[in-house]
Amino acid sequence: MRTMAKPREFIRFSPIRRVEHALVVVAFFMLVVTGIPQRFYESSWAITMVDWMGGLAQVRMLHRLFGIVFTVQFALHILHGLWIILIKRRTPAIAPNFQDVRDAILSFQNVTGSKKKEPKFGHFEFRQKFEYWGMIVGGSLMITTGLVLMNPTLLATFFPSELIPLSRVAHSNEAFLAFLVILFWHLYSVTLNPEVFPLDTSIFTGRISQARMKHEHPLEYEALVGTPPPEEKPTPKESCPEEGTGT
Amino acid sequence: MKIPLVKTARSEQEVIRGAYLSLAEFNLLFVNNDGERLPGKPDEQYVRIPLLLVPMVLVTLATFFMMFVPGLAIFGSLYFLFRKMVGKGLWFLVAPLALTTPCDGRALTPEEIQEANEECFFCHAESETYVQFHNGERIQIYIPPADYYRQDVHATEISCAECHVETVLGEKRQYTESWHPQIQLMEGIKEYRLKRDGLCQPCHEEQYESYEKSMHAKLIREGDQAPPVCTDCHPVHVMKSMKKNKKQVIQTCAKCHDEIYDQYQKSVHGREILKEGNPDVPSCVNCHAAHKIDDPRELAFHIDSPEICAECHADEELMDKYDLRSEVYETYLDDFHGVSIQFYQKTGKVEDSGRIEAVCVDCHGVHDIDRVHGEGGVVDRVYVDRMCNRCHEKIPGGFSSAWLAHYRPSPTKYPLIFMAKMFYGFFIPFTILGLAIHLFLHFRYYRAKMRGQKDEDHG
Repeated sequence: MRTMAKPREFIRFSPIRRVEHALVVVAFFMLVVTGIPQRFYESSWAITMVDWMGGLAQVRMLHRLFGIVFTVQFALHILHGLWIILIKRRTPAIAPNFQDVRDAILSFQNVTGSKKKEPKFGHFEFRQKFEYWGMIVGGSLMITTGLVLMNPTLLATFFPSELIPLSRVAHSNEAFLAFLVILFWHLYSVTLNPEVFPLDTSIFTGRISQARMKHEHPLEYEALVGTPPPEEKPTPKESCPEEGTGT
Repeated sequence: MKIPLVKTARSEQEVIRGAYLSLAEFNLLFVNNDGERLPGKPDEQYVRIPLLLVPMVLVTLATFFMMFVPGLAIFGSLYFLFRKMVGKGLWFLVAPLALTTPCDGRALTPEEIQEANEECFFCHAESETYVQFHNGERIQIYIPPADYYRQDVHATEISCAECHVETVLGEKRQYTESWHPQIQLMEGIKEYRLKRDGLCQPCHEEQYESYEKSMHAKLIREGDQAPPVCTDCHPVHVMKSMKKNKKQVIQTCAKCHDEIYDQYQKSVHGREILKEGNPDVPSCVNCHAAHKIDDPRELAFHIDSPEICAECHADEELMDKYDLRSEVYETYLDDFHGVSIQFYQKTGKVEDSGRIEAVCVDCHGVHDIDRVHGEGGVVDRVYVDRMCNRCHEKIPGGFSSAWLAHYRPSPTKYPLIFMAKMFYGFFIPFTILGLAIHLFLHFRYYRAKMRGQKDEDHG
């Protein structure tokens, strides 16, 4: 999969991942737009938003629709992952390991200035893995609580009914948390982040430049090309995507 | 508002109207004011042509057709004759009372009023006399002066003739010794009262406007005669302020709404007010308003109704007095139903809500509302389950424990939910802090790198 597409570009994401991401973007955006006003029901802007989207009944309907879309995607993704692990007997690159913990500590020491050495990453760095697993854990919580709220009587036949208000508390708070993380972490690191500004396009095109590959994923580069990238001081010139892609 | 003595040139229409007015002066013709169609069948109910008029009209018509010019002359002279006889000047001569409407800035002293009323009491204090309507209903026109001056709030404020004004073809005429409208020609007392609807408006503008919006007024406009006008609830000649007298309010509404009264008097509110005379509990008008009575079957009323209960039940001071919890309203608003209700309240779009959310009265009852806990308490979990089942079909047993029973989650009440709230209460700010630190560190790191690069370039 990870072969050279063009001389100076690497394939980073397969088409299936790109489609998955695009669908998650749509579903997540719609869920936030229809869900956040339901959480902040006391604010006037929430009322305006609900009004604009055609009333509470319609907002709920849309929220559930995209919730189902998200659930189906989530299930397919998990099945696909299981198929890779169990049938194809391959370890996914996203699997966490102890190296990530060491990388995280080193990275923290680096940015705070206590150590000069920078960690080297493979296909996914620890932050990306953390975000992914956060999404998986948060997503399963959201799906479970969402399904409870969608059909409370069904839950009440098998479990204590007190889980229904609990689901409501968990659903709205977890959703807000996910929204904050996506907004301030994910969206920052792929758009406003000066290293990729204005937009990190690799999830849409599937490609990553050689310069960024050398700088951001040196271990993967080494595994693919056979030789480690030349010892370099990471400079803005090389890490800048516009210039990097062209060369 | 004085009625002008001299009229300017009239249009042809007004001349014809004037002719009818003239006939009305002699009670030959009974008409509604100025062509305004009151509900019902105005033609049948309000225009009554005495038999005498039939040959008169026939003769006039015959004359008119046989001899056009002389006919016109006769008709014209008849009109002017009538007009002159019953014109304002003549009327002034027979009416010693000043021509005024209430509340026009002129205030008669109580003595002057009493003097003006003398003329009325000349007959009306005489004996027990009645006026019988067409359908057999009778009203007393015997007004004992002593009782009247003692009981009625208006007795020292305005004179008899200021209320006893009849609108005839849009012209106001006060009752005098020589002129009374022929109310015995009316169908019944209700018709008389309906016709005089609006009489209270000049002084009680606010109340009248509210009343106009009420479902009582709406039903009357639609042609129903049963709903009350002012004087149905405020009894004439013994009129008193009902503001402080909740019992009287309840009895007034009970005159028509007797089934609801039966429920209400058994309820916790009804028992307190009717037996104990407790002024804290609501009477009919505290929830339904005194004049602007909305249709409680409408969705808008349903959706705004929690605020009615909240007026008292969210009042901490008042609830403490009876050992009730004042947080019931807020906790309701925080729960599933309350959240939806708030959306509907704020957007004002109740029609496209798709479904009706439960409000206070759906579980607690409306007029038969009773104690929840303690002596005579009606609410247990089985009861709540039954209430849930009214909207949520096929619920399993114990479904009601999804309802937090107006309690805030606390370590003792619903600890699981309390813990979840606490967890996120800490975790969300913690995450925000973490994200802020992350952004700050990343930015600092990047800046340092840029500086390092710059230094190298210089070096």
